[in-house]
Amino acid sequence: MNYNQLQFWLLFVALLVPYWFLSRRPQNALLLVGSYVFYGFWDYRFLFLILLSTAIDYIGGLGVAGVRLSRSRSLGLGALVVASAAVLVQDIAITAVVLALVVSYVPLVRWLYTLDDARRRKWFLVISMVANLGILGFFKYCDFFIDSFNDLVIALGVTDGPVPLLGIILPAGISFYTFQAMSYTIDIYRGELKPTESFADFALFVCFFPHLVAGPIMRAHLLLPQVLSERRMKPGDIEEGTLLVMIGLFKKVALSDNMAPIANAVFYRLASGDTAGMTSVDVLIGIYAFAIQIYGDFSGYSSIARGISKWLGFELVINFRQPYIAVSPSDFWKRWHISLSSWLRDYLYIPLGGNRGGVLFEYRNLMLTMLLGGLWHGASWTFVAWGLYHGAILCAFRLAKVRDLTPANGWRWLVRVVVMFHLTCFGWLLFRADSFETVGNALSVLFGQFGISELTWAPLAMIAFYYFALFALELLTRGEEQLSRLIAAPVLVQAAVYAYFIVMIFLFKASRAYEFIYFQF
Amino acid sequence: MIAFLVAGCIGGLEIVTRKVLFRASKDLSRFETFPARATALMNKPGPHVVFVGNSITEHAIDPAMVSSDLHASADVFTADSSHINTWLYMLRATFWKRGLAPEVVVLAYHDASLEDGARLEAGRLAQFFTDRHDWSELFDTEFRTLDERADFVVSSVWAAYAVRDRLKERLFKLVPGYQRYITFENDISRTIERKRAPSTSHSSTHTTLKRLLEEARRGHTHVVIVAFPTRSTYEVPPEVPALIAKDGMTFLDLRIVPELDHAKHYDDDLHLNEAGRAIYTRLLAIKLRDHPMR
Repeated sequence: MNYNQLQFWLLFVALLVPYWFLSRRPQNALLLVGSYVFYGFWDYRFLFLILLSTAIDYIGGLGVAGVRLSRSRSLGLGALVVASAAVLVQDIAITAVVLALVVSYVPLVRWLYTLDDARRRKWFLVISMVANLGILGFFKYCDFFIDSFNDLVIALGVTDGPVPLLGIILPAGISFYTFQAMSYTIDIYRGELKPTESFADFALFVCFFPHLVAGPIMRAHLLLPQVLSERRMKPGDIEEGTLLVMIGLFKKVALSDNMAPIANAVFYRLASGDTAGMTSVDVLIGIYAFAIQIYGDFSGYSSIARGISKWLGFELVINFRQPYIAVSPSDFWKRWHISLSSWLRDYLYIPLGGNRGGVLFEYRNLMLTMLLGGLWHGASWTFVAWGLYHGAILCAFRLAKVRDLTPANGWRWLVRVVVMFHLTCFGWLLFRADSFETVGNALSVLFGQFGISELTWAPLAMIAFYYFALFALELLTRGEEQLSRLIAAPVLVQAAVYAYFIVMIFLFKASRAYEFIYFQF
Repeated sequence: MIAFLVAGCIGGLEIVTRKVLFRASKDLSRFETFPARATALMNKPGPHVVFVGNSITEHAIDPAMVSSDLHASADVFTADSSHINTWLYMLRATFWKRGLAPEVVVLAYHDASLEDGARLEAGRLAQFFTDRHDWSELFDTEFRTLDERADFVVSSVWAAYAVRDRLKERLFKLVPGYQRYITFENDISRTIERKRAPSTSHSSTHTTLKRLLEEARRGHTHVVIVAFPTRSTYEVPPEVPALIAKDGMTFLDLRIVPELDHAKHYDDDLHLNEAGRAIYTRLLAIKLRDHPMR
């Protein structure tokens, strides 16, 4: 169930109608139940995993802050985790393991509270990080590492039977909610946040459905206070929410889903080696189409998440700021998936040392951060290469001391935008390709088979038709930063914009609905 | 005010769709003539022979020749790229629901067109061949998910939405090479789909065909199902002729017609040319004279 399905909107309306008649506590309860229902539609078994992460970070946060949980609440929480394993996973072995872990965790927690302040804070943080990264690592990377190990062993000439893959299902949105939950414990450790003692409120912070499976990744100090305070609808929230939802739906169902078959056709040919008759322009069009597809898909999700959150009285951070007018790699990462890049900056790059300790250390930190950022996206060597590539161009721009330009710089700015867009597109080639062989095929066509074919004009026209109106609108409203300019525009302009989006969403939606790309992350 | 203006825009587009696009489309404008043509046909002296199908039938049948060969009144009712699920509702809306019962209905099909689950253009069905009374049956058989049902309901009240793919196609056809590109893209999409979900051997079902035959029997219409001669061969599942015979209807296996030369009598793999049409129509008339018109 997702934003591009009617089922979601029916459930959302059912939730929204009573929502504003309730006070904060019942509102939160309603949102919590709604969030679990929403996630459970995908695969209810993995609700256990969310509950487990929630419990670990809840206890971790309290432990770091030195707040003791009463015996009855500890028992209740333990019982909840074990019961959810029994009911949701329905596997005796897993339930038994969970029970054993809970039983052994109780004396461990008791012992941790006997430690001095600094050691207790550190140990609670370490346990929380290890548990979160352990869950993420197991579900997301286990099979990838086994597969890579098998490849390595075969390359070394060992031909004995490979280690069998575990066939683990990747829980939707695990990377998003894990990072979000981790930020909570880290922020408490840093003294930037106080923990909440209400498990239900904390659970809502972790699984707030609008952004649960594909972000934006909300930092605890931004979202948790909203969960804990009374909600009020501000003037303009309904209009802005409506615009965001419409823009988001347009980006997903009209823009991204119509770009998908164009990109798929090119990448399928590249992957299968069927490049006879393909030209460099065909490959470029395929990559452009994917660049727009992934932007529409991901930023569309974020826009809808922000829009429906506004209707619920919440403010989520802006996740995209016209990334394709970036003038440098660092500018790009201030515009693309901002909530992840700022997370990586604050919780990885800066703790690694950031730009302190000399140029070499700075570049090392950049490369490491981008490498892990690439790996965050998916368990594949092409994602690793994508991360490293972005690290490399970040370093190269810093090394060359390239200064950022603004539109006031005229044509020089425009040239830089075009150059940066193509550097980004090369990254998308690595990101979208299913193997390095596909990348090689793309490059050999790109630099060896110049020209256009009779299949060039139609996809180019489709890209222009679907994308340019949005591009123009985003220039006017600076992405989502100044939507108020549109709300304050003359009635005729507003009507034209709304009519355009309605026509595009309903009449120009793609004939096939694609899953959100970032679900797999 | 904004809502009013937006509604005005959408309403304007709806009028343009109904008044301009429907008339500009060969397929859609044809559907609007179906009721009047059905009435006119049934007002002519019998027996009445109705040919229902897709573009294969449109290219293959000369109704005037059938009329003169069989001394009957005949007409052709077709919808491009349609299959059994569309033909049932076409027949029902054009004839049976209106109390019109042609003596003979001839359905020419190829490959899997008689099987359940054949591709269905929901918008066309919603706008031209169904009404509210068909919804529950359609929701049980064709549109099983909430999204599909909503799509169908919206299509039945909003013409522009119903024919949105045609709207899109008309717009993009202005771009040179669009048709060729989209065929190419669709071919690749189908290949990708097949690779993702490799087809397993499954037993096909024919419940829609059964419903059509039952309804025809109740309406005193004799149905003739013709396995059409195409350039490439296809299988006829043995249960299909048996099913048709069980209801007392006729199955004609014309997959191989020696008189039709693949090089001389076809426009493409499926469609006959003028010369092929004359040969096929005459042959079919002879077969019809031998079987149901006897």
